[in-house]
Amino acid sequence: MLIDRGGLWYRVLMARYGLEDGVLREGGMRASYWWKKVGCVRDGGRGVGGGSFKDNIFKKVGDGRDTLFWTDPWLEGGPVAVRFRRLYDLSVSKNCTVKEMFELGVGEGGNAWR
Amino acid sequence: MAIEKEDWDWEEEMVGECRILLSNVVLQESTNDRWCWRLDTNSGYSVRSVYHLLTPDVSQVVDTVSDLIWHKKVPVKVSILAWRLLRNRLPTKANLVTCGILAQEAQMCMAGCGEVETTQHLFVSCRVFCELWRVRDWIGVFGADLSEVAAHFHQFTYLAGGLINRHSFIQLLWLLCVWIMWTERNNKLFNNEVNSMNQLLEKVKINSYWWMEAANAVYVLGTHDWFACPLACLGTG
Repeated sequence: MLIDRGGLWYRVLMARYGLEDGVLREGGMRASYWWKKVGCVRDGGRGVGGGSFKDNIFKKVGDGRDTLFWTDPWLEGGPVAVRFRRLYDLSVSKNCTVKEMFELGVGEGGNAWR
Repeated sequence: MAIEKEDWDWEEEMVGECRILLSNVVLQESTNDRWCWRLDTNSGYSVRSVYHLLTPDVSQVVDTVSDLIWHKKVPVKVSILAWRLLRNRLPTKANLVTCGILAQEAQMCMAGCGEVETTQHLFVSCRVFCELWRVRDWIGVFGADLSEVAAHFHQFTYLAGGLINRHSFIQLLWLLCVWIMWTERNNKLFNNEVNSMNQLLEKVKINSYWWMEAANAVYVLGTHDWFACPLACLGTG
């Protein structure tokens, strides 16, 4: 679901449910029973072991091309969007990758923050 | 322009904080981003690692006392009881309430001590049932009752020092005692029969004699000497 993005079944699910924050959308009420359950495991719904999947994955950043700056868990301490909620709310580019943000410049006077 | 321009100090502060966080990050142009599984960063996601995440208590028990459960001179049914006991899988009242089989009001201990009948309560802390651990006096060893079942078993077994015969006998006694406690509890609950603590202690003595004798491990005839000094009868006094 996270890794095999070229696979046929991933493309089917993407066509059916679409993407949100870089991952497949859960689909809400209209989703199939099976897909809702898969969503529960991924996002940690109610029940035994809730959140045990989501809390235990992280993104190891290489060139930053395939990691969303705000919403992917690529820094220690959770996604940037959660830690700096206010900045995320103000940001006009919520779907920037890490690479794009660094190209804009995240240092002093960088364009990423303007 | 990534963030709409607003001149608030508060946000400036946050940007600064975020910037410091990012100052340590260096992108590696030659490698791709990849997802990692925190519990095993080398080989990735496995069902085993999640199982261990969700059941820490089982693996802990398995580590400390799983070898002590199985004993050549102890009937298998007794070992199986201990196996279930250490995994908290006996149908104690508290467990039945959790499963929705008993009502909340019906979870009190049979001994009338006013406590909830959990595994831990019944076998290591109930002031009535746990009188049976006075069996230590019979073999002449001393020890306190630990409040956790696996720890209790472990500590009890090593009370008599390192001699292998003694060690093995005391291990047998622990298994026998929990067996007697559980059958007594069931007798009380289902047959309305009650044995006095002395009767239960007698049961421990006679049953352990039978089990040891069946394995040809006793060097005396008759139970008189056995009742007086079991360790001597085993040749390890």
